[in-house]
Amino acid sequence: MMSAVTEWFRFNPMIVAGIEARLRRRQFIPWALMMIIITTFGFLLAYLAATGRGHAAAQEAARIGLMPLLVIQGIVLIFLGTGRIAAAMVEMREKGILDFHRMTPMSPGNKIIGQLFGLPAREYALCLITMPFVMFCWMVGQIHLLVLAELYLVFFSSVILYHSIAMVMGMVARSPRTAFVGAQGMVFLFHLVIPAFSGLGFQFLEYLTVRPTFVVIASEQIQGVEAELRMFEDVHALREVAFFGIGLQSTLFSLLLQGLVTSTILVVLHRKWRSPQHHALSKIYAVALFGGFQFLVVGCVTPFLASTVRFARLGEFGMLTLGYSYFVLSASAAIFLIHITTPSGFEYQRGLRLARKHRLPRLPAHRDEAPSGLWALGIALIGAMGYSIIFLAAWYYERLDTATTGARMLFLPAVWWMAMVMSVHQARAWGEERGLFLYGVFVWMVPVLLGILLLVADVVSFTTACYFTTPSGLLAPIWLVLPVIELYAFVNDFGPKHRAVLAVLVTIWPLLALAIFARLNLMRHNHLRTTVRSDTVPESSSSEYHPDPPGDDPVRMA
Amino acid sequence: MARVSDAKRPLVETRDVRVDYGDLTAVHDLTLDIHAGEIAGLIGPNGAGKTSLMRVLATLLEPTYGQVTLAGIDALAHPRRAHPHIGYMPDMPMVPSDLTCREFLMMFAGAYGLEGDDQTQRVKQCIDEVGLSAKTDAMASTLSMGMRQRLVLAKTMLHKPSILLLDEPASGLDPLARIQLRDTLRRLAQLGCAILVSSHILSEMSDLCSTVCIMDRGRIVHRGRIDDLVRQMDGLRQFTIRLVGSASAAAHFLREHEHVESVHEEDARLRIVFTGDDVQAAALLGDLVSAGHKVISFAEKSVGVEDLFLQLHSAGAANGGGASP
Repeated sequence: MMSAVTEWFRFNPMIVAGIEARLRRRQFIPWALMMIIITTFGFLLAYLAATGRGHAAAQEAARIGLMPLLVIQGIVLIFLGTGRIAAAMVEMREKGILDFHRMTPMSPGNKIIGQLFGLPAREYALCLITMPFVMFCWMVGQIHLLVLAELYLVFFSSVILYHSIAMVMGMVARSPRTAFVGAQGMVFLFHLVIPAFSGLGFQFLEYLTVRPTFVVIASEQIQGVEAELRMFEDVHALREVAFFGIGLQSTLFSLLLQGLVTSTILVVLHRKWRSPQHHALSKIYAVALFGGFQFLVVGCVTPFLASTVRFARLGEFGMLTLGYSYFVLSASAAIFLIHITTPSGFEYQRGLRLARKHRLPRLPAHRDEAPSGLWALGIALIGAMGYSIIFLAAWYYERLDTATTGARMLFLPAVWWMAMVMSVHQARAWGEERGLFLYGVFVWMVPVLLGILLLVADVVSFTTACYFTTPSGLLAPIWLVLPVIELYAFVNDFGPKHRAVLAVLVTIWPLLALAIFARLNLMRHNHLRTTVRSDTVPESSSSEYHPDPPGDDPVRMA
Repeated sequence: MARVSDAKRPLVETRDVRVDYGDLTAVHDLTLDIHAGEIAGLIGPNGAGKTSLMRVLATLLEPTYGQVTLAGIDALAHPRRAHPHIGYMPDMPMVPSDLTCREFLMMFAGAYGLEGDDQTQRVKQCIDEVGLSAKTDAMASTLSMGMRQRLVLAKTMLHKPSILLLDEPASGLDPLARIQLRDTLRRLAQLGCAILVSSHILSEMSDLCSTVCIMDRGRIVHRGRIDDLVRQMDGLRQFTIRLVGSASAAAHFLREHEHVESVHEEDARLRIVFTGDDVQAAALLGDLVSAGHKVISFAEKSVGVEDLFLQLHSAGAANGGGASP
């Protein structure tokens, strides 16, 4: 382990090549000049505005001056650097240079480090240009060195996280332009869209960026800023993350969370570096990752439910909003993981041939080519547990109303979730991307559209139209919580009996979909098995068989 | 140069290698050995599975099943251990757009563990070897196709691999560079390298390779020394006959002859496939002259790889499948 770490920090020819390629005088000087001008302007604007008006002393002004510097550094490293890495990776892949790198005896870890720091060499150099200004702020502003270190630790941790994701995007995107735009879109997503879930009880999502640390430090270091920030942020809530009743310091939580996500991305990169044929994640890792995700969700949501003040911010439909957000996050994660770990028909057939060649009854379940049903069941069970814990916690903290329908309705979402996940898995295993598409369109979209049309045409009543939409997973999370929440607008139309019947019906549909897609999947697998049986396969000795996918790196198992 | 201890053991061994792309089987239970010092040519039409086989040997493509042993190392189980032994040049050698030739080679020399003076000297040596000394500090992206090919060849040789896998190495090269490439490969083979060259320029293969593998639809349909293959082609002798004036009458006369299998007419020249021996060939020439045809020359054409391949391929097609062994 230690030798691997020291190898990483040794001379890395990919970093050297990156520096040579990206810091050529002719191209770098214009960028550097531009950077000096923008940084000087940004810093002086903040500094002089603070001192010039006589509002702040030099110390305070220098602290204020640090803020635009961080924004500029963020734009250069996070925004430009991420796009650059993604585009460069696609170019290298398309030109086959990635294959050349694959064939060198450097360890995959060393290669990833080489690309991670070599490709954005110019962005790191531009960031370095701003450092004299940071030094000025530190000295004149008398900022404690540990505070600055804390800020930059989280900053660079998120830079590495985004750059790693950009590398993955570069390995899958079709063109450099798609990768560039996609990677920058992802930065927007992480900074603007995902943190929006934070206010819904999923506080951990906000800590995937440097923003919470930045806000907390700014509020502590600059007088009067906290009052201004309070208009946009709950600074106190950001300072400490409530996780299963434990208060975790925001920087520590950021580093832990970003470290966890970065490690996962590095595992994906490691697998893809080794061979583009490999699935992005192994089945074992995917289930463990989903478990970790649910742990984070439950850890953040339960204290949120316990806090009357924070829960009240969600408004009168609080439980519905939280439940639906939980469904969106969990379902996205589960479907994504199932999609990347389920073998295509071709891969499955490949696995059958391999097993037949080595006279094995079946391949080990963890191999990429092996069916993923058992693992999907694992994901479904973990999600069902998460659903149950959240609903039980909500019931415990009296966020639900079980007086009319009884507490047994609390478990319906979990049952529905399991059936839904398994039916999606069967659709994916049967028809691959086309199966997911058909499932999305015919099971999730069409019933909703049909219900709307029937209602608008005045053919059926509102209640009946709602019954038409019950197969759809898009509305199912709403119908499922109807028996246990008070939705004042609906109360007149839905009596307790209707609400319970609707919830039960919602649960039955995915079971039906599961039965249909499982049958189709079975037929397809039988067909593939018959095809493979008709092959002539040469006999082999058992010594040739490798139970794990080829490769000599321990991380590959992940 | 990395060497295996067992000199008799082939440097490249594949057993029952199969590669599938969906329903298409690109390489079909292929078994192949290449020994040290051998330059093996891989010939086949488009889609025969040559590039797939090359990529499997280069550890860039995992086969459906099979065993690949390179320099005594199980390359599927331990690809990183096999990498120092492999030099692979793909059919479309591309270079980075933002590095000079020297920087490109220095990067890979470093990646193969060369450092300091060794790294600099080896890069210079390889650049000289491929005749790119004048372009050392030129941006790789500004090189012509042929020069890029030479640059990638230099990269392939940097770490002195014992196995060279070259996919269409001469396709973009000018005649002089081809001769240089041929000399370089022969020299490397003499040093103990096992070289697998895939090419569609068949005439070149007979000049360069000591053995050839003819691939069709994922299978090796013929394998061996070129001379042995020629001998295997029963009765395949070609004669070119030049005549004064029209060759049509002579063609008609020849078609009636019992040892003449086919006659191909090209202006005043005839190309015949002859099944007889030398005595019968001499008799045929005598008959032709006696019949009043004015023969300028009657020469046996040496059978090349191209002829072999076409013969095998057409035989396979006639049998309703690929070329049969």
